[in-house]
Amino acid sequence: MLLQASAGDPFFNSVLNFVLYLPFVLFFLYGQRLQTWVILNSVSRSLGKLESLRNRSKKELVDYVVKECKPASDPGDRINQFLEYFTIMPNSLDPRGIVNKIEHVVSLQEERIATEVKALAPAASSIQSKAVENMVEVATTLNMLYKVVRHYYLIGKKTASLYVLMQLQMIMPSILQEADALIGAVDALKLSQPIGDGIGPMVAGRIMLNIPTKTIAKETVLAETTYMSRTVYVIKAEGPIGTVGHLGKAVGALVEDMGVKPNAIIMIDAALKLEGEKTGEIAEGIGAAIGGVGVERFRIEEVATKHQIPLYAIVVKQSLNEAISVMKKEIAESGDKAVAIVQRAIEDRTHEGDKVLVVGVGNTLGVAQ
Amino acid sequence: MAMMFPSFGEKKQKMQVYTIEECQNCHDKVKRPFQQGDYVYKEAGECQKCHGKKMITMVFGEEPQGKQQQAKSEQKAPPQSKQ
Ligand SMILES: [Zn+2]
Repeated sequence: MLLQASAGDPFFNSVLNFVLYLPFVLFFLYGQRLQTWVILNSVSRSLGKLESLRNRSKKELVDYVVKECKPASDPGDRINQFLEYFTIMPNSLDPRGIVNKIEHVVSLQEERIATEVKALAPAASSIQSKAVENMVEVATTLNMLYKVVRHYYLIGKKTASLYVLMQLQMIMPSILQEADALIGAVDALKLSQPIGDGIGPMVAGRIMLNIPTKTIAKETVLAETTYMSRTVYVIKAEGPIGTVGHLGKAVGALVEDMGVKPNAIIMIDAALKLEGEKTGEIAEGIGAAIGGVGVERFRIEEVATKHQIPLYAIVVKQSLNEAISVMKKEIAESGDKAVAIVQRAIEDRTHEGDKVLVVGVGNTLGVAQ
Repeated sequence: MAMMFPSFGEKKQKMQVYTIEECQNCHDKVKRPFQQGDYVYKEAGECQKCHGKKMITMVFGEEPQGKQQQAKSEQKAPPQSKQ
C-alpha cells in the first residue's frame, strides 16, 4: 500500500534504493571481518573442548595415582610440573649414527619417566607404575596439543588474520578426533584392559602358551617351540604390563648373540586402516611391520639384511581410535585367524628342519603369555 | 565446522568390556563382564563341566548396541503379535 502510494516519489525511491543496497555494501566492506568472527567463535569452542579433555586426562592421572598407588604427599603439583617435560630429538644434519643417538635419547626419556613415576608412587606394582607411565604420556600429548592449538588461536585473534584461523579451523576436526582417541585410551589404561594395538602380542602369546619363556631384552620375552618339524622362536613384550618391549634389541640378541639364524621372520602388528576398510581385517605383506620412532624397525631390518633373512608382515587393520582404546570384539576375534595365517606362512615359506622367528608387535597391556 | 561436531566424544557410547573364559579341555566358552585384574591368558579356575583348566582367552569391548536393538524389537513386538 505504502509502496504503491509513494511509488512515484523520487525521494522515496532513492531512500529505498539505499536501503536495498546497504547490506551489499556492508558485506563488501566488513564480510571478511564477519567471517573471521564466525571462525574465531568456532575455533574457540573447539579449543574449550580440547582444554576440557586435557583437564580430564590430568584429573584421571592424579586420581589414579592417589587411589591406586597411595603416595605419601599430594601428587598434583609434581604431575603438573612433569607434564611440561620435553625431549629434544638429536640433530640430523649429519645423519650418520643417528639411530644410536635417537635410541640413546629415547631410552633416557623412558628411564626418566620411570624414575619420576617411582618417586611419585613408590608403593605401586609394576603393572600400576607402567599404567601411570602410559597415562603420563597421554596427558603430556593432550597438554601439548592444547597448548599448540591455543598458540595459533591467540595469534589469529591478535592479528585478526583470517588465514591463520582458517587453517586452524580446517585441521580442528582431526585434532579433536586424535584428542578423543587419546582420552579413550585412559579408560583402558586405568583398568589394564588390552588395547587394539595388543593384537600382535596376543597372537604371539597364543603361540607361546604353556611354554617356558625367558627374558631376552628389557621387558621382552622369548619362547622356543616346534611346529610341523620347524623350530619356532617367538618374541613379544612381557605382559600383562603396558609395554611395547625392546623388540629390535631382542631380535638382535637372538640372531647375533645366541647365533640363531632363522630362515624367516614373521611379524604380526596392528596397522592403521583407511577410512572405509573393515576393522579386524587381516592383510599380508613383506617388510618389518613395526611402528614407533623407527629405531626398532631399523635394528630388525639391519639384522635381516645382514643375514639375508626374508621378512614377512601380517597386519590387523584398525583405526587410531581403536588401536589405543580397549580392544574391539572384531579385533579380538581376528586373533584366531591371524594365528592360522602365521601357521600357514610357516608351512608355505619354510621347510622341515628350518628355524622361524615370530615377533608379536604392539603394546601388550592386559595380554600375558 | 565445529558445529558439525557439537558433542564430540559424548555421543559415542562407552564400550561394555567382557572377558571370555575358555576351558582348555572341552573348549567351553563363558562370557562375563570384565573385572579388574583380568588379563588375556590368565588362569581362570576350573571348568564346571569337565573340571579342566579354564583360561581367559579374550578381553574385548563391545558397543552396547545389542541392548538397544533388543529394546527396539521388544517395542515393536506387541503390535506384531496382535496381527
Ligand atoms: Zn571343560
